[in-house]
Amino acid sequence: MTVIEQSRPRRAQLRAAGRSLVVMVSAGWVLLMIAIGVFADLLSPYDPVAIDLRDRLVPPVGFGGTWQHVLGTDHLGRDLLSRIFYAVRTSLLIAFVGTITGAVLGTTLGFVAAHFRGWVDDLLMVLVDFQAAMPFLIIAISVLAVFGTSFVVFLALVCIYGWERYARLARGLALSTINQGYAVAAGSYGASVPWLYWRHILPNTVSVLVINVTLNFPETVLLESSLSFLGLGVQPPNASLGSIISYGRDYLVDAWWIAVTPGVMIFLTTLSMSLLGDWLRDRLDPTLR
Amino acid sequence: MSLAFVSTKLFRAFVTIWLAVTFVFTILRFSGDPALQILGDEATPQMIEHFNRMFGLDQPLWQQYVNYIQSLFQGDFGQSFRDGRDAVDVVGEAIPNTLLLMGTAFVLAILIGIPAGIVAALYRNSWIDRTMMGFAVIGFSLPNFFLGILLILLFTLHWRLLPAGGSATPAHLIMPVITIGTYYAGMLARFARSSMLEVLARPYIPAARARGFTAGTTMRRHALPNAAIPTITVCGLIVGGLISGAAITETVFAWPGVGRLLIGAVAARDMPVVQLIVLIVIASMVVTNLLVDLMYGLLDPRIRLRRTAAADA
Repeated sequence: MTVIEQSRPRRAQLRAAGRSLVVMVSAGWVLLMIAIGVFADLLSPYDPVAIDLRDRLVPPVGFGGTWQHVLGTDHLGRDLLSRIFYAVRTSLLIAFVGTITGAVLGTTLGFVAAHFRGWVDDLLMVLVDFQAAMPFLIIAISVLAVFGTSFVVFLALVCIYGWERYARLARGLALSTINQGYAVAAGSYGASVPWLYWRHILPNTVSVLVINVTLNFPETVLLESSLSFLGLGVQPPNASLGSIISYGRDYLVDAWWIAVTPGVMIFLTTLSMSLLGDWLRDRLDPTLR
Repeated sequence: MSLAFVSTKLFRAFVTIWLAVTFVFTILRFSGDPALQILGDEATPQMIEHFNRMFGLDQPLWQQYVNYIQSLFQGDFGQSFRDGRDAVDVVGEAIPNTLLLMGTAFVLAILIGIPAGIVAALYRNSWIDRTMMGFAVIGFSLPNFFLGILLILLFTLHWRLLPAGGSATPAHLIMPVITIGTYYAGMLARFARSSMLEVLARPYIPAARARGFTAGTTMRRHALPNAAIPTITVCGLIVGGLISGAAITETVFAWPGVGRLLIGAVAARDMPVVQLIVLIVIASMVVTNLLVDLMYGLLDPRIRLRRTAAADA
């Protein structure tokens, strides 16, 4: 192994260079998005909700538009660049908080189920089956109908989303790991249960969990956009990337840019996150190194 | 496969369905006054009273719940609040459309995604691997509704090749199937690849080769069954999400399926239709999970035996 590493062939070096370029571009894009999200109010050239009916449906620069509105305007003459900056803030905030909360919650519960077994395991797995059996969009729609379309409720829903997958995966992985030599050995040396799970089980299950995070993050973005797309998420005059696409859909014939630009933003963001996730996975998983 | 293993799973499936039914009942009953929703703000008290009596909404909640469970067992799912037709008929019309759409997309996703993932794992770090994973990442990073809108922009508005909405001809199927299939194929390819890589790194693979098995036998007997376990789980999870996924794509392409019906029914608070659809979704999901669990048992004796031991203890 070491010998091969030292005399790395040229192609492998090129490949590694290409890889790190992709990772750097992805990281750059994600950092850019985070910066846009954080400084949306400073970067936006216009008020994102300011209506200017004289400047309706102006195309972006390069498609007949001017530098006055770089990404064009929508059907109410609102500047799309400013709207998208604010939408990025909203969408990213919801997706990051939602993904992390769901992962921590689900993994913890999965480990709890695997450790205690018996009725705790059964109860948690019934809840997992229940959650998995419920179409999440419908839970979200029903709950939002009960409590009204408030941002807090919406965020809570996005946080809950996906916990059952982590729970199921974490439980399954813990069950297949806990009886392996090193875990048994650590246990017999007197490692405490939380330590055993944190130091031995988690690192050996983290690759699958990270893959799930990278699969889950785009899905969380998608959930947020989908609900907003259906008019149940972020409410006007505020904008998320999904809600802009939603009304942009009605103007596809006259003004494709309203729907396409935020769509491209979502796409590039989820794509970058996935590529970063892959890279992270290769770094985190010692068995793949 | 022991009886205890199967019966535990069956019991759990039953409890799941009951929990879900109760949850749906509770949420929908508390989500506002259906009479006001259906009749509008200008409804007179008499109209509301009549509406509530007609649909049994004037009875105490527990009685409504008992009635509801009873009628479910009798196969009576009520009438649509919107047009008074049997909910079964309303939903029944939409089901074949959704099955056609989702079935085609899912089969396509499995046929493309899983072999792509396995091949990518076998030729790890080659150009085949990178190309396939590139497509996979792009596939599931594209949001359903955005891909749908892009396809409409290109194939309908620009090239004028395909119809944008409806279900009249097989051509109507093409864009929605591409939209849904792309996403799941990408997801499956990634998962199949990573499961496969994980398995190929295990010592029993070189051990099998050392014992003189051919590469093909090692793949079939040692690598694939072990890699299949996480992949099958993900397939099960995907099947459960198919209807919710269909809701978006069906809305974009005006495909007259269950998903689109569901969005409309929830917006109009057409409870019988919503309940029936949710029940169908849950039932199919629970059955899928059950099958996944049983396949787990078949594929991994460790899980089966441990479960049985736990049940016997």
